[in-house]
Amino acid sequence: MERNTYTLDGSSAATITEPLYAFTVAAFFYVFGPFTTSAAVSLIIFQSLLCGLNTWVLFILTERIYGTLEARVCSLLFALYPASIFLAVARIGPSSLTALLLCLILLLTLILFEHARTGWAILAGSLTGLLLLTGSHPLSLIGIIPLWLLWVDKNRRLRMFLVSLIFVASAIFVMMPWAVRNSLMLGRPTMSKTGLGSMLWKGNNPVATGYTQVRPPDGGLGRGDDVYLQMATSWIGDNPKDFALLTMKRILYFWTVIPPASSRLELLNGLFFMVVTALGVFGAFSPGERAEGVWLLLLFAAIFPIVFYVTVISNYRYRFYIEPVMLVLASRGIPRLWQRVSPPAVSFLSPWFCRSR
Amino acid sequence: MNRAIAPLKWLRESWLHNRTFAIWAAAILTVLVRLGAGFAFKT
Repeated sequence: MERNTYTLDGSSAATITEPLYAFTVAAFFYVFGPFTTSAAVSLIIFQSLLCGLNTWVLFILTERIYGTLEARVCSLLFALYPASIFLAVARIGPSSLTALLLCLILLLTLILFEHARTGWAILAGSLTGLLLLTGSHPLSLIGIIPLWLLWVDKNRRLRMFLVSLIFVASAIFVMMPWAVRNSLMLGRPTMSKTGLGSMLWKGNNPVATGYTQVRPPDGGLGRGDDVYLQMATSWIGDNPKDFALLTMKRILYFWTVIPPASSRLELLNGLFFMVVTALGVFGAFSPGERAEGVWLLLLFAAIFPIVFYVTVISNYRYRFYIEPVMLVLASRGIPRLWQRVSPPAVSFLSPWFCRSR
Repeated sequence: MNRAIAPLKWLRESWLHNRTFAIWAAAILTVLVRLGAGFAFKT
């Protein structure tokens, strides 16, 4: 507030940023001083510790889905994954926290599937609310998790419907105070943040390329979001072919490299992601029994990016939600590929590999 | 030679057969790699 960050012209609180990480940074600034080196170092240590916790969660998540070997592979992959290292130490941002919360929610969803109890549903829902207050991009989780629960357990549909309702209600309950605050600020119903209208306009306008960031005249402060929504929808209505072409480009950019790739590191990051994705797809669709949890991850990987396919993909941090999920799937792909290309290497690990599901 | 390989063998065996070790090793490695990268690249 002091430096007009997260404010509307420095006069009142804005609605374009999710609150949780802003308040986390504020707490560090309060203790170590605003924009000081010690605050930055403390935040980097904090983000690194969040990654350490996420390694733990990813281990348990992968162990539940695949088995012991894959859990070990996944945790090591995450420890050395370049995008995670970059976002933890080179950017002060919510990426490490959102990745941790997302993996926790996926783990709790698997537990909820096995033990459909109210307590697990409330916990998973509350964490989803917290995740959406940290980064609103995976809003689709509110639909994905109930859809998966109803789909995989056809024998207990009523029970799954009830726990899904509790899950959604808990998520909304956690978000409610901020939604009320935003709605009062803007004078219209608003959830964790505004900006979808301006994002849609940034991605769909006469000079759009699929990755360009056209800055709206009001600086993107969220006041004219519904105006941008109308402008974008009318442009899409008038130019359906251009919209389809831009959407195809955005799908390509999301899963490869976002242009203009200005450095070798960016290209390398894109290459790593493509290799991990290829291994993930290979792991998910390789022959053999597929655990129900795999479908949860695939459902998330299929539905989550849609918001970027239709708006704009301008930064790699938006893709980071999908990367831990891909690492879990790749942890199956790596041993499977190894099994195919190097039988002697597998025979070395085989007594132990056989124990994993 | 054996003396040099012995710790690596122990590391591999512990990582393969001891679940607690595997989790803690990965979690500590995660934090150390990030802190190391942060200080190395002076981010």
